[in-house]
Amino acid sequence: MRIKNWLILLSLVLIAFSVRVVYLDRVPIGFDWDERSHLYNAYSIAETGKDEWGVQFPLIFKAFGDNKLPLYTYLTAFFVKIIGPSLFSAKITAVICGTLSVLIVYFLTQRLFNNKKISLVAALFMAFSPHSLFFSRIALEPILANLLIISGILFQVCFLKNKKMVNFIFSILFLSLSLFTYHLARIVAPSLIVIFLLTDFIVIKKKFKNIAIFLACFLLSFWLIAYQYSPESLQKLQTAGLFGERKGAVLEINEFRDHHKNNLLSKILHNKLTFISLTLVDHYLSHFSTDFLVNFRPPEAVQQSPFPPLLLIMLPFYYLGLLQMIKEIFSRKNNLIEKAIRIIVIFWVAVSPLPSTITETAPDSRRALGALGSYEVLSAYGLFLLLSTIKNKKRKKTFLSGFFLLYFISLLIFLFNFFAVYPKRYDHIYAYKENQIGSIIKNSYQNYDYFIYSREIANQPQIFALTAINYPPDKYVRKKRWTEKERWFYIQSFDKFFFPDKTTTEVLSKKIFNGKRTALFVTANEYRDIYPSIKNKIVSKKQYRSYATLESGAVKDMFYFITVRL
Amino acid sequence: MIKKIKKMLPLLLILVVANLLFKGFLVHQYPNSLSSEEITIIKSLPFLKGLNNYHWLRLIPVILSTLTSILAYELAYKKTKLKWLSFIVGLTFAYSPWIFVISRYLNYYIAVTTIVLLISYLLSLIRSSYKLSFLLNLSVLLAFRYFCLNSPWSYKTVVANYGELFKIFDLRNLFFVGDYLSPFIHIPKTGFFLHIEFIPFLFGLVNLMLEKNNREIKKIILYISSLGVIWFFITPENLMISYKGLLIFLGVSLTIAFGYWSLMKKVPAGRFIVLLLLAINIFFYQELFYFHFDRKNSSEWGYAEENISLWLKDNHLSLEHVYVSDDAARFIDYLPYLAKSFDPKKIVILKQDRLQNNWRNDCSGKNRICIVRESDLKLMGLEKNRAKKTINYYNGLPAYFIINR
Repeated sequence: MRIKNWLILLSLVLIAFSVRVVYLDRVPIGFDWDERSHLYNAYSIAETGKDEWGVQFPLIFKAFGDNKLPLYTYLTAFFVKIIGPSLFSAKITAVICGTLSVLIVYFLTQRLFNNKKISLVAALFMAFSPHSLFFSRIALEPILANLLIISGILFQVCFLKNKKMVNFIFSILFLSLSLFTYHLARIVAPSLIVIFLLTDFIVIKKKFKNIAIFLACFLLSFWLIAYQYSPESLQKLQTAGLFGERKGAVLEINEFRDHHKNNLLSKILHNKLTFISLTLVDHYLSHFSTDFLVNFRPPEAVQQSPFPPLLLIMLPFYYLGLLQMIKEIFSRKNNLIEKAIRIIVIFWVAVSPLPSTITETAPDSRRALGALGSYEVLSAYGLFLLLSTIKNKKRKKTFLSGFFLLYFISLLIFLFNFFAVYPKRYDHIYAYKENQIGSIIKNSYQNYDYFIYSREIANQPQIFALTAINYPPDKYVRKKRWTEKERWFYIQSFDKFFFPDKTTTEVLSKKIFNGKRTALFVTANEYRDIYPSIKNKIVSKKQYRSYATLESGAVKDMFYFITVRL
Repeated sequence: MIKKIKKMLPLLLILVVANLLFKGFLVHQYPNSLSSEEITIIKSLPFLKGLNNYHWLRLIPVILSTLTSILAYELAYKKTKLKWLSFIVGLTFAYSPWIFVISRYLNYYIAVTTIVLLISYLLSLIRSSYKLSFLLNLSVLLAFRYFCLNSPWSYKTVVANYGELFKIFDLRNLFFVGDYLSPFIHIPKTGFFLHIEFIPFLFGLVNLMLEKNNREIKKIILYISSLGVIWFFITPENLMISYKGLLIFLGVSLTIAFGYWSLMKKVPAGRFIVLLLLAINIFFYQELFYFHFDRKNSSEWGYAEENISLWLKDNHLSLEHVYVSDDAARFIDYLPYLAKSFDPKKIVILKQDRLQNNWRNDCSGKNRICIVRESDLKLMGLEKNRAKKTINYYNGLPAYFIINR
């Protein structure tokens, strides 16, 4: 029986790895700005020990000015060193994290309920979790943050069960490490550390050694947390949060006050306290609501999962598991340890939406990823709870078969959409133009004297050129020309590449380009503007179109690749 | 019997007064204009044309809605025999934003709600089963769908509606966002229910699931909600969520009322806080309705259409021909009701190409004007300041331009 369980678990892990690694270059279609930035910084670290700005082993990567946290980049640097810089080496960290999370969820469920069947079902749910699958296939940090958070929770539950301090140390270590992964962990991990320390203080034996370790971990973790809240890191809250002066809530307050000519009543009713509180509650609740949990959401931005965290059939069991878990906190049957464990799980579920709640785009699948794992654990628990109410063995079997039949049908529909429909329908969102430009540069770098493309056509244009030709990082530090605006860096040129704000006749008339074979990547508007001045100099012209189309049949995105001798 | 009536009467009176106060207060001024839906109803029911004042027209939905609240109260009492629970049910039907707003203008859907509750109540009087009541209501809903909603039904409607169903049950949409597809009857920053009511809703839901008693209230909620889901699926995909979800909201209202009742029963000390929060929340959303609704949704209502109709009524003697662009034709429906003296034969609709090529002829002359939209001005190559008169929406943005060269 034991071997059978291990074999099933091993197969689940293998399947989980396979579904995460298959067609890694095609789904999601494209390799976006931030993924490439991770790759290039990892390449730079692996080659020179410095980031793209020449800083030695930084704890915050300046990158585009967005201050990326370091752990994912360092792990990627390891793979880059072994297999060289490529899309695969950038994404393999995420793939491994997503796969390992299946194991962690299994062990966590096992420690929580001491039931191998529930644990295997939870692991199955995790292996095919839409959010896990999506975030395991993009070279970004949230999936790593999630792995470290659920590992921290697992070791905490182990500690509460067996009181071994080593578990406590690992728990704090993983959560502390998660602080160096992604901004979501900066809210979730400190909150979990606080609740862990509170529950543990009641549970641990008050020996000198234990108290010393406890205090050491406490001080270390809080030093790390305090370190994390530097002005640079808080900058993220300004850009993504809903508290800024130019954000929707404040604009709305001004509009409503204007209706009243700013009188006293309007000041009492329409202020930051009322509006932002309402928005926060609204955002927070949305994470537990059916629309977020089971509905497909057409992606509006890259790095947002269009798929929900749960397959439809799991929804009632998730709610049931959640409800039962809350109920068990107040149950007299459970002892203090069991209650503490349940409090930790509920606390995990409760704090995970917070990073997404404080943003304008809530519910945000990426920022709410701390909750990944809880959906699966609670759904599996809910399923077995319901199953336990059925006394008749035959009915039990029928119920379970029915459930798994519906589960696998939902899964097939989801996988079909994930691998076949989504990549083509939404390629325009996934840096379509930039990726095409990257491929062209890769294949024809030697054939041109210059490459010109503007910020109109590509967000952070330099990163696509850098990663296309794996430009030597030490050379890049020396050769790039850049400006800084509101803490964001704008690269103007390096090597053969020029990145104007907009490609205009004026830009192309610079002496440096005279008589040179130049590759231009321009939008339709840019093309229309520059055409009169270049029409006699065009050597070749090609149009690139996205797969995605509007209802009218027109393409959603396109650009021109023009070879000119200026 | 008399004893029973005496027992029920004070609460019934409170409900009637509360309903009339909430829904009938300044009903002729807020919303401040007739919607195109009201105009369509007036057109299709000729006897309404005689009523020249909004006030009288809009009293019809107010009365129907008051009846809905009373029927909900009576039905809940009939089934549960719990006086205070039934009273809270009636009360939630008086102040909830979803019913409050659809009670303030002419529409067929408030009548649908009333009919469903009336059938349920009448059948409960003869101790009929839920099955019969369900079947009868279902046939009424299907008949309404078939005869009154001109849109073909297919399995595709069901598929398209499936995702929307999860959106309507979404806590965010229920309590904070409201009708996310149509701003027409959307009270700014308000859901279908009060913000704080997600607490009694969740409390009621959990209690309904975990407690073994309260079978009757469970049955009513299940019965109404099932009808609600069917109604949701049979109605056209493009119908406003506020209409599609009508009967689902009835079920949610009942759950909220049960939640309040359970909360007050289990935490008697919290009654004052609940009432205080409720009062604050009602005041908050009422302010949003009375002071911001018309401004935020002004292009959805007929403020500009009414004004242009009145302008035509005042100037009809001096006009021989009124050329109206295709985009600007919406106000024409308002003329028979608001500008009876204006002869509709004077109106000529201009297609886009004629407007573009011939507007200089059409819009010139002493007795001629053109009425166009902002998008038409671009087509005509005219600046806004060349308009003879501009008719604005309530929020001050331009709606119609009267052009005369």
